[in-house]
Amino acid sequence: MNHNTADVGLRERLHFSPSQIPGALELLQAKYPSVQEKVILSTCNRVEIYASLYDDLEGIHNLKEFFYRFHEIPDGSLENSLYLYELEKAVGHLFRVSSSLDSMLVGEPQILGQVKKAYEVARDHHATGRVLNQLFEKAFSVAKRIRTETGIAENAVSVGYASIELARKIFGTLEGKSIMLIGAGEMIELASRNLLSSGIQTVFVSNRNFARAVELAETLGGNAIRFDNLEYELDRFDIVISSTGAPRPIVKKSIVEKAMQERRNRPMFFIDIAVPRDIEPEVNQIENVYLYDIDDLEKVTESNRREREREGLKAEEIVISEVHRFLSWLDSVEAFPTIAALRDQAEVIRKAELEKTLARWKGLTDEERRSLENLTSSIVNKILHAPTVNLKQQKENNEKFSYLAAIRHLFNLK
Amino acid sequence: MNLLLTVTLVLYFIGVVDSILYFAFRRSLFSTIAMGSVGLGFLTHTTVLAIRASQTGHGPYTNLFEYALFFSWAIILVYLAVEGWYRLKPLGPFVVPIGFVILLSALVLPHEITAPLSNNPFWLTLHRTLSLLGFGALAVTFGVGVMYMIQERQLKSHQMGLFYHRLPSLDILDEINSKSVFFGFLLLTTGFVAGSLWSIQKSGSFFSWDPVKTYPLLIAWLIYATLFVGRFNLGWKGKRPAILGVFGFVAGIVLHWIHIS
Repeated sequence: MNHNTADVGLRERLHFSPSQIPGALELLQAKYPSVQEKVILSTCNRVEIYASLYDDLEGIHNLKEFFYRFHEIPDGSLENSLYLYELEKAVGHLFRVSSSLDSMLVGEPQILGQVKKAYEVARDHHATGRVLNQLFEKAFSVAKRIRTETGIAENAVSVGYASIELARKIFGTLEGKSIMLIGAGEMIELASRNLLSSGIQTVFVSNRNFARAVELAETLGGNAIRFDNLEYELDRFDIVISSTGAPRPIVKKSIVEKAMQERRNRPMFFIDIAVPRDIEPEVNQIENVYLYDIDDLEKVTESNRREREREGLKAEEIVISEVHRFLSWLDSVEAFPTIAALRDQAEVIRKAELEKTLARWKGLTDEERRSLENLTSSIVNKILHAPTVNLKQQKENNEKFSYLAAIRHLFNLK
Repeated sequence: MNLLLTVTLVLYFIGVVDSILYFAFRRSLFSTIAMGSVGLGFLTHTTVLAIRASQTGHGPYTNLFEYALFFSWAIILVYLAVEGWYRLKPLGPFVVPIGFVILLSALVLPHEITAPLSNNPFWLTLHRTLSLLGFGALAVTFGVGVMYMIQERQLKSHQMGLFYHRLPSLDILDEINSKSVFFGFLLLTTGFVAGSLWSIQKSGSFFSWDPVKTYPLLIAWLIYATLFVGRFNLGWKGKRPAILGVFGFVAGIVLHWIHIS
């Protein structure tokens, strides 16, 4: 269940808090043995259980039952909000979730850490095994690949991120750059927080009400500048964000031109988020000066959104090819335990029955014993030969899994 | 040698195509192929130069064919150096095609070996080697200049297209402009001094003031001198040096053509 299928209220009710998860995993282990391996992922936008099952039908039924019981919700009441994926759909889903392709804000970086945490908790409680270990390790490497090979993480879509990105396209790195905030309101505080968290160390605040400037400067770890000194100090700053209630522009073209001379043409980036605007639009005409008002930032955000969609398509291709790789791995490991279990079981029966018979027939020679031994072995082998070969040759995944399930079911294999 | 030259051209062509594909789609496979084939092409290119030198017995610059061979080699050399230093994958589509086209022109130029110049060709060889290496660096100035102009246009106009996301920051482009102009101009100037010395030895005067032979070089040199002084003395940054770097290279190619033919 995720943000697309359930509203906040429902997600809250079905949430597993970090302290509940170990208990939930133990409960699954104890009460529902058909669920072989399991990982519970619960974030504010999704609640998901990844599981590898001994028996598909029974396992799915058990999982749902567990879900309802655990949260004390009437059975069957959530059918519209839950989704169920099997095989490649499930694998692809986990890859998409880890790579933040399924997030509300596509490309947001937190989800990978949350998936890792969920997996680690499950692993530490011995709730995972060969299949899920491999699956999650793979999901992490897919997420990493998508992050490095596509621009999905680069193009954050909010206005705050857009200004960081613009600043990076102008200055390269933001390390060591200095920023000036004109105004001391809430808007400017919000807008500057993004930039300040991306490496800028020097921050100055200028405001008509100096006391308020000092106050904001303190919370941001910077200094205050008197409003009247603004034009003389302007050349010290690489980035200027302005958001005041002034009715007319306060940063004039002539001031910026003078500052640029002082700076020996080093670029300046002005962000004007005030309406009406604080910075004369003509400032943008000055060489090496870049001025963005709130509408311009919106346009950049829109372009980021489009770019991200293109990157999303590329990421999707990576997901699909990685899903195929994982399934062929699964393919190679999955058939053998079942075959081995089937053969083991036959061998146990054969031995037990042979012993019973031999115990009753006392007067047999060694040679006769050996030929009885050979006879039973060859009967078992002949009978099991065809199913073994057919299982190994089965290429279609869906069919193969239903075969495997059928065999486990028919022969009571665990 | 002709076979090796063709192999080099094919490798560079793959490099051009894949660096453009990388630029458009940003798949690391493309950039790996592009870098691999340009690197390999550079090796075969170097071999071609070595074979040619062993055939003629002197440096490879007595006719237009050898000029093109060496000039394109210098461009790729500087490109590989910049790419190796800055890891600037989007640079490929803006520089490698120049080297490729110039080497391609070598194919149609007459291949026969001209007799080497008899009277002390040391200064002449030095003049040509240094000038062409300098122009190789200035080809990179041209490439980053074009990139700068596009990116600057996008940032100024607030209209973000595909290029905005794919081109690197103005800062790094400006830095490469600065470095390549510095080295390019110094090589070019040293090359000119060597050319003058050769001229003194040959005809006894510093400049022969041949309107066809001397003026074109002087004009190209003056453009770069303006750029050099503007950059390092007047504190020019960004757009102006970028435009001059592009203009200087285009003018330089045309004027050079007049000079050597």
